[in-house]
Amino acid sequence: MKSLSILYIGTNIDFINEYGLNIVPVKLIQCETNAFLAGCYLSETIKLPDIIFFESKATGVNPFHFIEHLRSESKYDHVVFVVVSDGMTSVEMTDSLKKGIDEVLIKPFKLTNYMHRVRFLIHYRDLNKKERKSLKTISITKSMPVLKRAFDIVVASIALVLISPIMLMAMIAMKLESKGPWIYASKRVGSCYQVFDFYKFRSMFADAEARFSEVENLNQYMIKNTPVELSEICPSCNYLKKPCSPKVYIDGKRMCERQHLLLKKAKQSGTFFKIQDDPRITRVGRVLRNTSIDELPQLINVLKGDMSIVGNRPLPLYEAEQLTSDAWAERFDAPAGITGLWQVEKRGGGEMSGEERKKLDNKYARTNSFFNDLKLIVRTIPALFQSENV
Amino acid sequence: MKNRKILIIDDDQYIRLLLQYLLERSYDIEVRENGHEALLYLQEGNIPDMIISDLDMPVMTGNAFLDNIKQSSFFNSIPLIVLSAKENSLERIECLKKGADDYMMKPFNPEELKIRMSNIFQRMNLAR
Repeated sequence: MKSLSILYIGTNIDFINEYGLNIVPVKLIQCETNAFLAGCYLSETIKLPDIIFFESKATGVNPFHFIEHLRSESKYDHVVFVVVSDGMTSVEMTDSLKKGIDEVLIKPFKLTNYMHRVRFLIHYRDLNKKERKSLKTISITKSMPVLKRAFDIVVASIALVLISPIMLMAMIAMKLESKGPWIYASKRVGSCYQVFDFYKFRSMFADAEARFSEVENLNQYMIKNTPVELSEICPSCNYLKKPCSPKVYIDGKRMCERQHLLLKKAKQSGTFFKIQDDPRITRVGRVLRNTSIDELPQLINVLKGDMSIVGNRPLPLYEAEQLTSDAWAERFDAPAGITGLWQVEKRGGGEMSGEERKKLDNKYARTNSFFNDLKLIVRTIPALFQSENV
Repeated sequence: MKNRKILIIDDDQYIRLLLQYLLERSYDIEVRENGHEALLYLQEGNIPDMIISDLDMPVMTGNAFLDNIKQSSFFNSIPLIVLSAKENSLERIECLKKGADDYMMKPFNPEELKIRMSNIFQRMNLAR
């Protein structure tokens, strides 16, 4: 860093030592005891200083008026103004900033501790007025296209009328087999991370949620072959004969942080939760699921505007919160829907990994349009008649 | 009552969008895509009520931004939450040492972020 030229305005004789100006690359070009003399110096000098330090208690002109006056002249546009003060209220601070004072240093201080700031301010004053203006980043929030919304309302209304006999039958069967409500509403995260009540016909016994823990380890999307060598013993610690990263204590086990993160990643690959042959499902429920009749109440969600016919599957909260990262957040920018890309891309074509589904969600967010939605609907129809036991 | 103003700094457009969706109902949002743009915004005379910043960003990282505002009498009292994918505890400690009020890792739970934010505001109100 080149040495900075400084003009000091104030009566403190020992300021060089006191503020530590002797240990940073600065060159004192002038020292004046008051603003009047400083003004005289500035009007005569050929080369302006990089920084003007101004004691707020300097005699003569009020420092704030003085600086305001200098700021109004364009030749001082590239000079950094720093006020040295004993203390200021937050209102005075805001006022100073707005008046073009670049920084206020509160005594006692050593300039060495403020070099990041000094460097930025020098750079800032080097820029021209246009470059100094910060670029406002505007995030354009997609709103639901009118055509898509109209299509949703029309299709959902017609569909509800047409399938009402099926729904009625399902409801009767449910009541005959087990106690509990017809509709099971769960919290799901849709477009723009909006949380809403997601409707399905109840296909499980009413106490299913309480029994979640007994089936948790049956998750079909957990990595099938989680590497066995991912134990708590870290190979790189072993090799180094000393910890390769800080030690952490997790669930009463001591391991190095690196290994802990690897294990965590392996576990997280099971973002999506699905279980084959869940024992909590009722017999009627199984039929409803195999025929996808349990999904029909989502047409009510469509009518309400919570989601659309076509879009990314609304996710349960615990799945959604794992996708709030740079790589996956894109999916929330797209409409949520009953059917979408991953339902048609791979259905019947073997199991899809959580990773593939997340990629398809992002792809849908990038490529969705009314025409593409229509194509997806056409492709969904055959998928509806395929049974997958989940 | 006027809404509090939150400055969001992140280079990823979808994280910016997501934070905007999540927070715009309760706060006024100002968004910048890196530390440098954020500093310019502040220097223009803006003092937001809170800053949420990423770490890894082009032009100026969150770390350099943090160094800068913590050295400024104008901005050092603005509460700041780091929101980063960096999981390393050394990184977290570094940020907290520099004066970040909180550190959250991506992926994050949106509800948790909102609660942490309102807790910081509540503490500030009590201290006043």
